Amino acid sequence: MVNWSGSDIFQRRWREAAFGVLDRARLVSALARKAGFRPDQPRVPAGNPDGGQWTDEPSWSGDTRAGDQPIIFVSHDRPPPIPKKRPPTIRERNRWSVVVARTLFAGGILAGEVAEWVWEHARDRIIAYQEPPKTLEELRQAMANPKPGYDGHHLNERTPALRDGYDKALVDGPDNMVLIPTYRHWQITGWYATPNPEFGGLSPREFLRGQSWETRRAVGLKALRDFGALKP
Amino acid sequence: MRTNAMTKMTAAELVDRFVEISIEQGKALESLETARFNRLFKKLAPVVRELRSRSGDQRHLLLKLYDHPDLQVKLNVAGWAYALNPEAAVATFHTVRDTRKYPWAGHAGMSLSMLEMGLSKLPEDPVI
Repeated sequence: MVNWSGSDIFQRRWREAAFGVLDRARLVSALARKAGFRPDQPRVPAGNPDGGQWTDEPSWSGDTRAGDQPIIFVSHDRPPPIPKKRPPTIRERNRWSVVVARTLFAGGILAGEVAEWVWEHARDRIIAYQEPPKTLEELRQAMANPKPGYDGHHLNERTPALRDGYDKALVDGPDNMVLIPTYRHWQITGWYATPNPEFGGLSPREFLRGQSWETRRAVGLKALRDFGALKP
Repeated sequence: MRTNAMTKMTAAELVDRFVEISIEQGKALESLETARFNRLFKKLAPVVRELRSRSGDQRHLLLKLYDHPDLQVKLNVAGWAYALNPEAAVATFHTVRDTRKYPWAGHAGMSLSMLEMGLSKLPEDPVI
């Protein structure tokens, strides 16, 4: 028996997906309702290249079709067309899967079917990405039940901490580990790895070398929150 | 070090180059291509240094780019020209964060968090 917490339709649809019940059409439908889709929303006039498409503002422009598939936007988010054919490399498949996950989360909807290969490649990760932020305790406790679509994440980055001499038991211990959606884990890791003017051209990872455990932890918690995994 | 090519570019050309590189950075970030983002950062730095070195600190020409639709362009202006108008930079970080379009929303949020924690070097306006 599933305990639905609250009446939010998104939470219910997400839980259905977690039990393998939801197919992608229902996921799209549920997310459209979450995004505030309205049947009476204005459309681009007929005769225009984008004729018939929904529009929020007159700021639409450019190609809004993914090959032969119409794209309906319920927000200003305009993702690039998702390839119908499975890309040859994992990097490309991950790239497009993240775009789908991000687009769904931001409320941009791809009408019709997203290519089958996307779902085969990343269904669990895409669904996990739609999850609302959780408390720190929930994220910690989730480590006891790892599942597809989620990664174990170190609040204080592992390799730099070990290199700076922190004990492995501390670094890999339960107080430093949380389970978060894989794509949010990748986005946080990406932030740590990219140079930034606010660190004088260093990456956050480089900047934090030599900083105290507490400072690293404070930054790690901010990252969890600012990338949407941890409740404010 | 200023490159010969940079010194010959007009200020408008440097601003265009800033936009061009920033947009490519945004694509790299979206695609999780960290190495490419980092290479583009190294191309962006001399553009900003050149603008900064010109009479009156020509980075002020970047401030109009706060109206640019690309989120990475906005973030880069806020980061690279923070000292010229901190209030506008902070407002931009808030705006981008509140779009909830990740990863840019995350990067903007972290910029605010680092300022809040006193870890950010943006107020010092370092030369990069």
